[in-house]
Amino acid sequence: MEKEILEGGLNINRRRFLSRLSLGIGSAALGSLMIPDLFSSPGEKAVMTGLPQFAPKAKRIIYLFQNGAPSQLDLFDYKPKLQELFGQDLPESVRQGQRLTGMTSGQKNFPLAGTKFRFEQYGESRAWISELLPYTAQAVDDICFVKSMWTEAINHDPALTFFQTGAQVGNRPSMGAWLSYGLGSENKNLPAFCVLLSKGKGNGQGVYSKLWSNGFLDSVHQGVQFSSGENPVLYLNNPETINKRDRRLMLDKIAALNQQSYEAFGDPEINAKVQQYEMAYRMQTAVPEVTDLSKEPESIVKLYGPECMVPGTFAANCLLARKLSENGVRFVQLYHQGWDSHGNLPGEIMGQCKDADQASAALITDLKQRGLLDETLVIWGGEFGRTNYCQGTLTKDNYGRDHHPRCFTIWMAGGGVKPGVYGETDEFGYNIIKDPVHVHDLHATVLHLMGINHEQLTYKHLGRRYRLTDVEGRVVKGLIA
Amino acid sequence: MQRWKDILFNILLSLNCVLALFVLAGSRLQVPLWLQVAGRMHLVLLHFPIVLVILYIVWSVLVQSRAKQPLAGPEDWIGQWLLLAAAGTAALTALMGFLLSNEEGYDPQAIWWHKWGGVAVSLLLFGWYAYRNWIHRRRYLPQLAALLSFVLIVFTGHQGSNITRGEDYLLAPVSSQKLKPVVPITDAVVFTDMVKPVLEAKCMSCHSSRKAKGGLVMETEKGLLAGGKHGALWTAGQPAASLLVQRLRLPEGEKKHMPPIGKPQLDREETAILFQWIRSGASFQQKVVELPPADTLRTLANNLFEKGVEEDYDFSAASDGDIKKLNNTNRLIHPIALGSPALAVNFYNRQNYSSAALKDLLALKTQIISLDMAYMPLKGEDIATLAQFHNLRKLNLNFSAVPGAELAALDKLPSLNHLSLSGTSLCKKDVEALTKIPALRSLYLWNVPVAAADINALRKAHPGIRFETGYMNDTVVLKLTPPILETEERIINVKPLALSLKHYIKGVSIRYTLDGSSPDSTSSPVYKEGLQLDKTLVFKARAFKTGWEGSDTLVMNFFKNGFRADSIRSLTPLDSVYKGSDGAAVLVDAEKGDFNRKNGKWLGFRRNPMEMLLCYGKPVLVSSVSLSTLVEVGGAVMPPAAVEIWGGNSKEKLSRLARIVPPQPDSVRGGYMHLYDCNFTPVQVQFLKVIAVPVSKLPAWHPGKGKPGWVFTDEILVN
Repeated sequence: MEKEILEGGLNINRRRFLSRLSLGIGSAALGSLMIPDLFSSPGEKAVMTGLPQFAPKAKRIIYLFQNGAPSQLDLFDYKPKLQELFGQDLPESVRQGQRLTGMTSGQKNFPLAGTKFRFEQYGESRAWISELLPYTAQAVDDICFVKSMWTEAINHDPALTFFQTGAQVGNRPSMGAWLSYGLGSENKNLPAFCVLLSKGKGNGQGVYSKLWSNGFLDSVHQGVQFSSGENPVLYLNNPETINKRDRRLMLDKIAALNQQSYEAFGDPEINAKVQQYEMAYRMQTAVPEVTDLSKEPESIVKLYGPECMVPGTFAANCLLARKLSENGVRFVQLYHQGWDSHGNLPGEIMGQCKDADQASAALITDLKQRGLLDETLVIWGGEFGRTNYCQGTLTKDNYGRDHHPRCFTIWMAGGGVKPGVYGETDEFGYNIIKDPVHVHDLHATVLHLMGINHEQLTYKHLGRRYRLTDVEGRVVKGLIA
Repeated sequence: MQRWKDILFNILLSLNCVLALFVLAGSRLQVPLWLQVAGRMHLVLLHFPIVLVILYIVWSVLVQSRAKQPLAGPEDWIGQWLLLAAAGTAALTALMGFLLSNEEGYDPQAIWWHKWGGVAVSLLLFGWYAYRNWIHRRRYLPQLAALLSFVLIVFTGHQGSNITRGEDYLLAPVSSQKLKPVVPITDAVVFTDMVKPVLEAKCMSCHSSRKAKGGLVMETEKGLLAGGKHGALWTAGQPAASLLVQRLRLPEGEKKHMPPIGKPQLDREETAILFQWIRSGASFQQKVVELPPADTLRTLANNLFEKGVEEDYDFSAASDGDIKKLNNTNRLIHPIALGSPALAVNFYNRQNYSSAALKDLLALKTQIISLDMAYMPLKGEDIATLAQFHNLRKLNLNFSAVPGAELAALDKLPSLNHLSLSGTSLCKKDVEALTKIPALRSLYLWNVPVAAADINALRKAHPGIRFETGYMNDTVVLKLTPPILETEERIINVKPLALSLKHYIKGVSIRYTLDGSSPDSTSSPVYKEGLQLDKTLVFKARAFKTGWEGSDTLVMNFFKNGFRADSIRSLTPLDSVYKGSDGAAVLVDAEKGDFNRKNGKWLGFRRNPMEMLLCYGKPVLVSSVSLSTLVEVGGAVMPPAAVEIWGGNSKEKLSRLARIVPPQPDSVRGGYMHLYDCNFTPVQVQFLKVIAVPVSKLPAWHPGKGKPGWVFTDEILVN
């Protein structure tokens, strides 16, 4: 404790002292040479946060995470070859030693399972869409399908954590936290990063708050989870007998006390706390207004489907996401659970699509008709794909699919992405044959759309600089309009 | 050796004579086809004289500086061979150049200097070789000859490269690069800004007035329309039948493929631009914004113009102090990017809005390019203020109660291109006035009371503006979600039960039935608050609303319990896991369990039968006892093998009132709940004993055959 007090008072510690000392000596030596950037690589530049580094295409993101991994082969990636080879074993020349999950590693053979759903081509890009997604099919002209996503993880938690934080192990800041840190909030009355959860009837996988964690960043960047009950943000209302004025007085007094301890300690978390109290105070008026769906016109209810009025459904969350985004929330993260169809896939996926299809497409239309789509990026997809072979017993009408990291499809809309189809998989739908996009690449591209160079958005922690894209990632130009 | 030299010298002489002849004959010369092949060798051969001349000069400098006496004649045989070779190749190169220049497509003016330069080099080297001995005996003459031939050959070479690589090729990297002015998409003309740049980059190095290969000059509209010696370049509207496209599409190895092998090829996008331009009629004047929004050419244009084109703003940044001063939680001001002078402003919290909040921003009116005022209660004077933000590009007034008639004032904004007015009460006339805004490209009019036909008329009249009307719901009929039952009780415990139903969609009427029939939209009663149930029944309800399909039916069983037992006691020990949250009392707590049998509302029996004793303070007249059970065949939860009801007025003296043997399932199926009713002639009792016997052995088809089954019960109803 004493050490912390001392550090606070001096506002310095050994590490900072040494780094400043070296800077002092270095600058004296280099000053005469007049070569200011000789030893600094681009990554070493001081990070200015709070504003885009260049004019952004997108200002806000709504991420419709389909948790559990929807089957790309039954929704987007049309492979008639699999129907032709129905029931035959996946050739080793295609599988190439791909590691398996514990669920199918004991399986003796891997019978190819062509989808039982009909596919058709839609829109200017002639993208193949399954009959399960009739509404998405109508919005194709605004959508960029990335058919060549891939990841390294093969189990849900690491894959999900990887997608959300750029690392398979936990404790790193989530994408939304990085954007909150990099760009700040557009509306100081609401958190910059909001999280909404919903659950379909399909086989589900859990989501945990580590996915919207601020990691080592200031806790103001943490995602705020909205719940589906009467009070979307818990403990926001004043207790009975406390009115707004009393609350204000209380907060002022607490802020004064906190200021004292900040002066004594210098811990930046104290300031973060004060800011959060203030934000919560402003949220007391802003949140009820934003989350009130009752004033939405009937056409909106029909657009998103009647479920959008039922709190806690994916449709309601999509509508709420639009409202939050419209009110300047930088990053709205949705998780819709229930896509983990290891068995009974046709039945489960039908239910999942019924929940997700209309509302996802509606969100695009809704943003578009308000003139917000060009500045709002919508991302839709899971943490990995599903195998082209069947898990369990294969019949014409029923099959299951295991996890598949080597290729899967996600889609993006608005926010400066180029509508169309990007990337290609082989005729087995197992390997990528054109334009692979790794999770790091997606992160780099998304940051680029938001006006951030992913190599320059860094945070120094435990002696080294961290990025969302770690030491990899490249901006995929082909995805950008 | 000398003999060879003499022979070569004679050949050299004759070559130069032929060259002189060609020069004199000029363009009157008819070159036979087989010689054209030789002519094309010019491009290869030209490198030899250049290298040889330079080698000879270097050699002679080295030799001259070493030797005390200037070397000449037979002593310097290396130098002599070098000079002879240089002169010979120079003469050959010049000759071939002549043949090449007589092929069509070369502009005589453009090659004039190169031609005469080449002739001069050849003659000079010939003369130097012929008189080498004489020259080398003179002071300074060898140096002069070396200098002259060097300058000449460099000059000629440079002139030549100008023909093939284009002028300014050499100095392009160092000459001040004039960046092309960035054309905003609003002003872009399809031909000038999309098609012509492709032609310039990929075609005009040959098809310009300088070279005019195939007689084709692409620099001017006239030249393009005239075509080349194979005829017109295109038929407007028929790209596939057009020569230009056909040549581009030939396989790359093909002789007639354009551009020829070795020249930079067109990429897919560039080919698409040419193709689509011809398809759309090959107009020289059409503007990009006049194309229909879904047109492929328009999409290509969007890719082209919005790619990395960051607008350069010609105004200077506002002071940080000003921005900080005006920034608050209701009015957020921020630069669009680090170092950009342009500002974007968002307004929040409509209840705190006042016209003064907008007026304050006039201090930054030069810098603000984007304003988001959605949901703000705007008045007429606010529009007048808005009209002063002369650099505004983007304005969001969605749901802003904006007075439509005043909006005409916005036509004073020269750069406003994106205007959102969704959810406002504009009329047709107001929208028409907006089309006068000079730079307007996108107008968002969803949820605005203007007829679709009127918008379509405007679309036709103003092809440069995108009118976005969004989602129309008139014809869409969707199914409503079922009503939601807020009442949690399913058991009507002695007193009537008040039922509370709700629906999340406004204006829905809920209709219900109590007799098990399906509710319909006309004859079934409409649910109102205060509906009460007082007997066992099946409650069915559906939601209806005009413009919607009626919902699925909400089905709920309600059970009447006429006599609440004063106490209940189990006569057999309860299961250690499924023992209920409150022991035997859960059977008379008037709370139904759900399918989660571990939630404490169910009692499970396996080894011992259930034997419950219900006690009443005073005798009650009973005619039926019902036992509510759960069946989940897969989990070995079966219907009871038998249910018995015993009753009487003392604990010790009970008589059997009823016994039923429920039917057993014959296959595994999904879980369900079932109520077993035991009816008997009315009898006065103070004590009731309810016995349920579990199945002793699961049937042979069951996975757990032979083991005992479970019985799960959650409620005993006495009437």
